[in-house]
Amino acid sequence: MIEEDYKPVYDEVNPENLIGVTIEKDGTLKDVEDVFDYDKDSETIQKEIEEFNKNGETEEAKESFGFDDFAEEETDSENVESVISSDEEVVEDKGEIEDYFDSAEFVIFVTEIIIVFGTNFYLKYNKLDKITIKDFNKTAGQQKLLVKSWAKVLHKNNAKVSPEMELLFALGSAYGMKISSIVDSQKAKKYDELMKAQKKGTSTKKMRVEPKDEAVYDDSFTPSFDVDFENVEEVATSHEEYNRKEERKHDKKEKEVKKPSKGLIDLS
Amino acid sequence: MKKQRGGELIIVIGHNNTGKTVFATRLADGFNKRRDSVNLKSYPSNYYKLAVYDVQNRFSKHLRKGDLSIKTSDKDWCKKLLKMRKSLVILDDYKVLLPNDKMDSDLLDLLQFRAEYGIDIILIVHNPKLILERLSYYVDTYCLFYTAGNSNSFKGRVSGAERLIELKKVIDKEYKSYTREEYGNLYPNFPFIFYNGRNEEAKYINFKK
Repeated sequence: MIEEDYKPVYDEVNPENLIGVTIEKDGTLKDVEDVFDYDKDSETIQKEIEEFNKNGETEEAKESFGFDDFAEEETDSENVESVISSDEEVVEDKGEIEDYFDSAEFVIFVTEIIIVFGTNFYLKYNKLDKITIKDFNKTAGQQKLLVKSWAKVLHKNNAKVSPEMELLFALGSAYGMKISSIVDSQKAKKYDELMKAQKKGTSTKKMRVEPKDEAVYDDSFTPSFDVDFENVEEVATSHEEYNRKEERKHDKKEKEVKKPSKGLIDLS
Repeated sequence: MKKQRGGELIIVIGHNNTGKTVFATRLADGFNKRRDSVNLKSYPSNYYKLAVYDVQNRFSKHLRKGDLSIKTSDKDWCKKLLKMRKSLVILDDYKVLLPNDKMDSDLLDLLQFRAEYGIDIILIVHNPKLILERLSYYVDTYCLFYTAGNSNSFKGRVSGAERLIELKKVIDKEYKSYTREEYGNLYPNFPFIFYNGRNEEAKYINFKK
């Protein structure tokens, strides 16, 4: 049956089936485009536009309209630069970014003070050197980014994330990396000092230690290690190291008990 | 009573590499020109949007911030389209978006309210058989490119099948008058027939003189 029904695609046109059809042989694309009539609006559209002109666009309407998905995807797939440039357009279109420099500078300054205070608290706890506000030298790009984030906070423009969060992220990324690099460099410096001391066979810290009470301190005792671990306690960076040191201390005390010091009388 | 705007629904039928998508991109160009000429600030943000289901990634240049690129995994695409006003929707191989070929209530709403919301819809298919029967109730405008398959594939899938079968013969003849290379050189002006069933008009576009 199927074969009987099948007709080759090159059948001649049967004019009878086209009776009543107006045929224009010189059509253009414009003929198709003319079908789209944009000038006539329905009642719904007229009402919506009237309401928009009266009250503007409500925040609720903006939120319920979720078409920003595409813009995000596109910019993400291209590169980060385009995200920044699109954000720049949003803020700079308003031509007001310069207006925010003063207030942004103040906010950044206050934030830096808070961050320096917090960081120094952390550094002190870890017995590392403190930092100052001068350690936060920013590049022009970072500075601009911070100001832009602040401008968004003030203006609440069409940010994807809430502007406050953006500022927080910007601050976090700007300062977090800086702080971690400072802490790392300080730790590395301390570690280098320790290693040098080990190689020389003496600890710089040990040299500064005042001699202890003769009754407790035994001159005759010579530790089997070159480095005086008791005095470099503060650079212990891990639990393992700490445990090893405690064991050594314990061994040392045991030896001291076995060997009576000069100040004690041997009752035996 | 004032005549309301149509909210066009056009089905583009044609075999692979016959110029369907190129034609649709040109319509998207026209839409972009239209919205460039309008002061968009005087409209709510859901006005003058372009939404595409674009498996070949041919419309990415036409999309702007706030436009919608529908993904195959997106289940709420119809709900999103229903929020649009005075917008253009182009769905290339739309059937992929319909699991089990079911037209859910949102899609039916979209078809029914397209005039009220001013949404023009262009659906692209390879073969008339891919047009769902229920969808054919809403369509009376077709763009016919060269289509593989026989005339029977139109029956029950389009309104005014007899007319379209005859017009298919016309476009097939035109297509076969070119070699494959010659046809490729026609870019972007590929021949097709625009048939408007409402006023029974057929326009041969980009045909040989």
